[in-house]
Amino acid sequence: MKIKARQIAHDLGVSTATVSLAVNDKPGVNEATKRKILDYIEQLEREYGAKEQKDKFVKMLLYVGTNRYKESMEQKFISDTFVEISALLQKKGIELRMYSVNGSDEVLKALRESCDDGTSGVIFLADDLPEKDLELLNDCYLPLVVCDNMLHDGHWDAVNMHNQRAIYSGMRHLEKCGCKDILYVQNSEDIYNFRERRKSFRRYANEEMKEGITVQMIEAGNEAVLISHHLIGCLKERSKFPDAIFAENFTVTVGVVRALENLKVKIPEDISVVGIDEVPEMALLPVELTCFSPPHASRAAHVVKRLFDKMEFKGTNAVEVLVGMEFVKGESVKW
Amino acid sequence: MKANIKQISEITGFSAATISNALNHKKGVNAQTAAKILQVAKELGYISETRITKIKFVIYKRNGLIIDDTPFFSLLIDGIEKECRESGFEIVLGHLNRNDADYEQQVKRLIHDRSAAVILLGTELLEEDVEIYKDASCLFLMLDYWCWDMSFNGVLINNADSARMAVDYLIKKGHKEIGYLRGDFRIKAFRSREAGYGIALKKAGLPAKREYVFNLSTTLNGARQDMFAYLEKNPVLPTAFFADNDMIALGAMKAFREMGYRIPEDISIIGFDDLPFSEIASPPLTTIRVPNQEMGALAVKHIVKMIKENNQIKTKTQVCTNFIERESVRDLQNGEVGYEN
Repeated sequence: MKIKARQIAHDLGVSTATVSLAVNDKPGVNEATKRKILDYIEQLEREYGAKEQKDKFVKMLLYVGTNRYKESMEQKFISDTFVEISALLQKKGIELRMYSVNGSDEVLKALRESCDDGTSGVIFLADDLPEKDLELLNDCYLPLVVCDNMLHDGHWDAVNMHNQRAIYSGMRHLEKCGCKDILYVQNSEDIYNFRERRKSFRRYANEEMKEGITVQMIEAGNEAVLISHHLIGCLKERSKFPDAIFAENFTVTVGVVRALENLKVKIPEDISVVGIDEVPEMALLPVELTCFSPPHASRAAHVVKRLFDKMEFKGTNAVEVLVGMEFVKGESVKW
Repeated sequence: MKANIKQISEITGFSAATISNALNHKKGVNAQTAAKILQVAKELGYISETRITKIKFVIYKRNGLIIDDTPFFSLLIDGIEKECRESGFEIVLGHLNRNDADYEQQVKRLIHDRSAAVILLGTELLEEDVEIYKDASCLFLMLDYWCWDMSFNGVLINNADSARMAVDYLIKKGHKEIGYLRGDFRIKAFRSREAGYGIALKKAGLPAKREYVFNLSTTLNGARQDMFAYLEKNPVLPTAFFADNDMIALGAMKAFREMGYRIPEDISIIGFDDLPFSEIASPPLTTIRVPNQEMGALAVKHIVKMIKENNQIKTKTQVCTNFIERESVRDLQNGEVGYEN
């Protein structure tokens, strides 16, 4: 907001002409009045400067396509990310406004509104956004950083977890530990991160795997209890148990561990387990899990950094940042 | 002619700079002066109540010991966001960390920005932290905290009655020796739960024995270790425990199992919160479910009403909970697990 001569004149009870003379250092205005006007302008500038910064805001859109978000633990992981983002923005005096969107109409509406309501930038948490709707993001001309999704010809920035690296390192670790028969257990959600993990697993199996190793992928459902039931059925049908299980996320891990407990199979003596996501300790797993831990905090930092870069230098090239997951060595893999 | 700072200055006798400082909540103006200036400015119509278009949801962190590990506040956000959208308000996320060097300035900025209403998640507030918020000049609502002097609008869990109900359930199952797993970080909610525990015992004519109160850390592993240390000393144990929350209950359960106790055959336990994994704990934990989403939505409904009606009366709204009966309590009347009756 600009400071107007009319407002100064109004607030101090002088004429706009006097303000103009004082500001432009012309004669015809007495020193005391001039001082008063200049002091007042300086004060307003300080206030408005602060105000302008305060009024700056960024929007965070969260795509809520599936029932996944009804699960409170999943919500917790997401909110960890956005609390972190809001903290980083708050430090810079920028507000974070939050919206959940579902369906392409709502995505379009939210992006269009953002383009003319003074929004400085948009962060889109898009794990659940269907692939077909990704193109919609190209309609956004504001600085945009997308989390958990990627379009190869998109002109926005993306900050993603390095799913492929986690799958590859997990598989190499299992191979090194002598596992020859590996079962990948996936859940039934169709979201970006899980699609990437499945793709990476297949690619590894086709291109990287050593000879003499066999792999299988099964889909086991979405809730720990269901996954556990399903897996028990699958394992009983097999002629022999696998050496190792690769669990797609924490829900699958909990289901896998429950199933193995039920079958009186020991981890890692009988079957090794590697998972993606740390499992919250309240799940009371009987063994310390070897897993890949998603980098919620550092990812948030990268999102904010990308957004600031975009906000400062418009027209930079699109960048995809891949944030590696941390390998947490537990006791669930047999040496 | 519209009122101006000069007029306010003539009436109040303070300089234009002081007036500007007061109206903008800057430092260096004493409270009485500021109040007088604000009043005159309002009378002259220089400031009107700003139209509020956004609601800030601010998470207060004292040490993170309660809110970092539990998923409940994400459910609150969900409820708050949906309700804001329904009623046409922007939702802004913020948070306050008591350990930040500029914490006080951050609070002041927040509570004197009248362009937004504030919902503060005060789960981790202790009485000594609360004074500063009583000055709030914006519309302000406290979530999950209550102050006896009625200085805030509050939406919170009915902790005392919920705890009383849980302990009463234990009594009905034939338990006469009932202990308390007491979180060692005494947030307001825990204090109220302790009161409910005490009342239930008193009404049933049962003694609240000191030796049955076990102080445990509020993290899962901390509670496990603390309980383990108690058990190593072979204490006299009650037949059942009420725990301040599920995290503490689950940690204690782990310690009991490691020391060879069976739940519920040897020890019955009731928690509070219904965490996502309480259902698949072994045994599944009997607990109290808090309708978090609804509580978030309710807080927004309240504050929207305050915005629209400019109502000066403060209210305290307590949300009732659901008792979730699972398998962690033994029925001493006929020797069975409660769930199978």
